Amino acid sequence: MTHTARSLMQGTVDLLILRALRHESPSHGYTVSRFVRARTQGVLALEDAALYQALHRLEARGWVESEWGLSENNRRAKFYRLTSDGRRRLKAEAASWRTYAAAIFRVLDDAEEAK
Amino acid sequence: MKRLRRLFRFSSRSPIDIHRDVEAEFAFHLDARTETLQREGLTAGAARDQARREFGAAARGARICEAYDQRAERQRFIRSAIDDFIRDVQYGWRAMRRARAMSLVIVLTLAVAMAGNTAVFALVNALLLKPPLMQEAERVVRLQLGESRMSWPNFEDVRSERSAFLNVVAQKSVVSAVMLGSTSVRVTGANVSPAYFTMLGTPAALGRTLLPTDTRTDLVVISDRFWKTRLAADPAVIGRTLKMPADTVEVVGVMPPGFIGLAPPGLGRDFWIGLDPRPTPQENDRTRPHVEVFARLAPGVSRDDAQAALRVIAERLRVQHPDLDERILSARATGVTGFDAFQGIGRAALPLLAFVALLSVVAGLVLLVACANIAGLLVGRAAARRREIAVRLALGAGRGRLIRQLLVESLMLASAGAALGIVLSIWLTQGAHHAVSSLPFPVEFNLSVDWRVLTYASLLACAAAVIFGLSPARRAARLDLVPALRDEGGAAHQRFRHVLVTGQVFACTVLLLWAALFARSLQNVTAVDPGFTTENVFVVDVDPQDARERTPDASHQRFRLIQERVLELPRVESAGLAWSVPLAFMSQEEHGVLLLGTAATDQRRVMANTVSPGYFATVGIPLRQGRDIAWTDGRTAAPVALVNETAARAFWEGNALGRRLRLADRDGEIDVEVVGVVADSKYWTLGETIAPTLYRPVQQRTFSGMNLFVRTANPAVTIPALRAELERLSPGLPVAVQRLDEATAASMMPARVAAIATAGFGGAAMLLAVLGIYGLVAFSVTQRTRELGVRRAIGASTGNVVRLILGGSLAQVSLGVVPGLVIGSLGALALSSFLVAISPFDLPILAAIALAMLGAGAAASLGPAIRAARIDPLKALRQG
Repeated sequence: MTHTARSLMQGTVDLLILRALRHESPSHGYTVSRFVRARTQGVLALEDAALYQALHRLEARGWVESEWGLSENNRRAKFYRLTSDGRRRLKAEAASWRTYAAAIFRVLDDAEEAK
Repeated sequence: MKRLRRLFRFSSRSPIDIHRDVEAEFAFHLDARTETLQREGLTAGAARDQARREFGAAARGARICEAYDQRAERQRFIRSAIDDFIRDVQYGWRAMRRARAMSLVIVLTLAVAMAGNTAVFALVNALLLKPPLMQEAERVVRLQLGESRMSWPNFEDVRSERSAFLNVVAQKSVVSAVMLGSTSVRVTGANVSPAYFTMLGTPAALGRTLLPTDTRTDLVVISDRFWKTRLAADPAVIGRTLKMPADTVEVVGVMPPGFIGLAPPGLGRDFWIGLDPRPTPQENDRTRPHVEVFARLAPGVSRDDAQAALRVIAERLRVQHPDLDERILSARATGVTGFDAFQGIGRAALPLLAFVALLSVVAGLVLLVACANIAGLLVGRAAARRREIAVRLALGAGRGRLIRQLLVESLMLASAGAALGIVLSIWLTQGAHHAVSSLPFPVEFNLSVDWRVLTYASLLACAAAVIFGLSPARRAARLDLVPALRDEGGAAHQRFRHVLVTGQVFACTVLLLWAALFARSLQNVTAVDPGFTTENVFVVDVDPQDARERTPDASHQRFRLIQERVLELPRVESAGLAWSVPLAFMSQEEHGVLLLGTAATDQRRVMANTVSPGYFATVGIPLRQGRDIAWTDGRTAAPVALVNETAARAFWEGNALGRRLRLADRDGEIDVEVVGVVADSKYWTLGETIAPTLYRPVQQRTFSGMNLFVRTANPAVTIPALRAELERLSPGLPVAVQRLDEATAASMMPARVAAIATAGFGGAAMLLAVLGIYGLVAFSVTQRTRELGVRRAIGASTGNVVRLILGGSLAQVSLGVVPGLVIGSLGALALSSFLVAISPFDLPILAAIALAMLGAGAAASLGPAIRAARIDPLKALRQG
């Protein structure tokens, strides 16, 4: 894998975060970070600072909302969850990514066959 | 102010709060990660280091997060403000519908006051704010060489100055007669130099304007007003000919509505004709100013640059022509918009502007009275809503929130009132416009509602809403919960309403006093002796230009011929010429004179008129001493003059005959001898103090247009003969004969308009004040039911109770009346130029106003007082 895969595009980060927040219970930033790392198996190098920027940006756009609460070990933490707008956004983004990726794969598969 | 700001701030996170939140969020993340790593077996230090590494650029990340949060916070703030506002409006609407009758009264009250204010502002707007209809009016300047007019040769020299000005143009106002079918009408217009319309840059609405290439001087451009009112908006008007004394002219264009060229705002124009490029010898005299000069500044040239350029020209002229007055050196270039636009009418502008100021003050007072009334009503309602408000407060509504909501209610009422007021004001201004159209000179105000009027009305409505809404709202929100829930208290409300009613009575007293003064003044005006008689006297303008006679001698002979022919007509008792028609607002002349043979070395101001033999006899001004002017006082004879009694008294202690005075006018400096003294008569307004006045013979002056006065024993016989004779003397020319009383009717206008305006506003204020007093007394009777019941129970009679209530309310009214009379009289001092034969401290009037106000107060409180007297003590006591 070359640098193209490592430097993430903004839209990609958004998609990953929205996906991480899809389940019903609100999660704090740390959970989101762990989720992304686990799912990508360390292939995508996403710094936590960038992740938080994305979270706040998504909140400003009204796709996620936040609330202060208590963490598992009773510490004050900020919890995020998807808004209904965010849920719609996730659906649309995911669909377009799938179409995109499928198209790229088709091209790559053709090239492999030709070889 | 700080409190007010707090009132309008919605709760939201401050930048510092946001910073702390982001810090806490990041710290939590790092701690959580470090703990996990430690559990996985790393040392504390190594775990923290790795957590930091994974986190990346924390400081930059925090900055960006904060920026996003702040933006989000702002958006949330705006959204919640809008939501709150919509909720307030919905709530306000429900509250208004609950108190439908009161809301209607408030809206109507405000509408009346707003209509007056908006109408007055529309007038101010038309006179001072609206730019005149021309391209880039701020680049047009009026050029003056020491006085308001310029001589033709000086104008030509200024015009040849090419660097500072794009175009330099001249105009000369003319009043003329024009023949329409078989009748002739007086029209007002201007002779303009060829580049006039090019300089203004306004295209014609129909046909074309005059062009610099036009060499003919018989082409006329007419105004929209003239076209519509006199020519029935004839679509085939282009090419039509009009008969005027000077010429038969051909219409080439119609200007758009509202175009008045460079006339002062408010004055209409009927036509524009090219100035004759070949001036007469008199017109070509460099020392005789007679045209107004305007220019458009060249690109990049400021008004100051233009003035400097003009000064250079003035200095050169003064060197080249030493006979020019040194005053021309004080050359000026001034604007043609706003106040500057009034320079063309000189002193006449001051009373006009003072009158507009008076109207503004009067309208403003009515609005204040209306606001006080509405505030009273709202306080009353707030008292009635105390329980509701207390419940909301108890349930946790913020006081700021509550005040905001009550203010939104006020604003809604104000908006409804303002909207209705604007509609009413349109109707009002149309009425006013109709009223001034009877003046002898065309008046044209563009009173249409534009963005300025709308802005003004909106701001005024907001101000009104704050004035009448804020205080009751703050009072309501400051409410003490416990007594309010128990439905007690209200003393503070009561005090506040007392203050409001006092203020109202005060403003109303001022207005009524002024209305009464103007009404008396109008009455006096109709009774004032102007010093001359208008009975059976007719006036017609005669112009020797008819026959193109250009030399002074020929003019004089023609004037004499006309007068002598007219004297021979049947039933004519007397005839004479005068340049200025007294009290007609058409023309006035003023001189500085030096009294010769006395110790006085300073110049005295005199009003002046130019007359022919027989004028004084015709208009019935008696000769007191000496002799009348005679035709033998010709150009070659010794210069003579008559003075009025005021001049004789002021200058020579009554012995005026044979005295000499030196004056400088447009004919140059001459010494004249006083040969007669005539009785005083009014010159410009009926209200004026008669000024020293000088009358000089027409045959010793050079004048082009004069007015012929004719007194007849039988108008029915004389007037047709007069018309026929004048038509015979100047064949084919229009003759506009007017009754002298009609010509002077304009002098009644200011008094009549002032009386009508102040009476209208005063009446409205009175009505409002009566409502205010009634509301207060009725409310206080309800509040005092228990106390009054106790009084009745311990033996107070019906009379006692009525006296108690009436006495209280009369004392209340007196508190406003007394300062109202004092301030009103002092204010009227400033208006004394409008008052005819009445002092602002007229005791009968002051007494009448005081009585009227007390009477109104008594009438307003009688009903509640009787209700108070009928209170059943038992019921009242049980009620508590």
